Amino acid sequence: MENELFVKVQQTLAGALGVEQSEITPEASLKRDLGAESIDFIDIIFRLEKTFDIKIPSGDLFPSHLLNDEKFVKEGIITAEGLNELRTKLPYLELGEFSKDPQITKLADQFTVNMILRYLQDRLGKHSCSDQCCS
Amino acid sequence: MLLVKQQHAALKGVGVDLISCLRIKQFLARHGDYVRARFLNASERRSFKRLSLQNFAELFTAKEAFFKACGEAWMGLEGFQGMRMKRRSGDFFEMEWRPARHSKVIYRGEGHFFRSGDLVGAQAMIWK
Repeated sequence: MENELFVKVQQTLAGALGVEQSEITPEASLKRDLGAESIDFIDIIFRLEKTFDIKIPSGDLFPSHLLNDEKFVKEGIITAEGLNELRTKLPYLELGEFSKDPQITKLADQFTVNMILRYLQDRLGKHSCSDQCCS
Repeated sequence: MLLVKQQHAALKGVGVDLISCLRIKQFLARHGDYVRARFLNASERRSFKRLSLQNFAELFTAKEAFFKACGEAWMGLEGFQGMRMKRRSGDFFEMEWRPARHSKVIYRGEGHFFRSGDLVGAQAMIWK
């Protein structure tokens, strides 16, 4: 049975991205699969804040200035230290295969529906998603 | 005119962005209050007492194009707020961005706007 959090996120993303709710699966990448562009990411942040009555600080969901340090990024590639920093500071982000070819400009491909769900579970302080979304 | 000034410098990055005014209109209708507080920096809030669709479309595409030219990871609202745009004559602009408050890195570049029907676009260049 679909749960409340997942459905609310689906509705929020469908509204922001102009896609069918059924296309919004936990594994879907906001950029690669759902076609999100920069303004859509901002739209999503604002809609999530309004839907869940929270404020999402800069750098909470997306990497912000985490990777500005030269030891974290060398010639457009995130170093091992940078990847560890991402894992520590952005635990909602799933790096998966990205770790094998960590080009900084492709990091946004890793922003998934699951990442948002995990973040919201943490922020809202309850585990309300389905087994499907955090498996 | 600005390009001529830089003719001997090496190009570090180029970025282009294009956005539909209809998309911007929908976005502002829904989030106009948030945009002023969270997207604009203090200087822009002073400059734009009333933020028009055209103002925001240009500001957004200029910053997005500049950000692409920098080749940095997407930094969200904090990144957009950190960029400082100066309008020059005609459709030209200059931009400066220090990605993090204590960063030694400062990007400086320039660009211009272009329009076609419903679309507003910007091209930005950063020189070494």
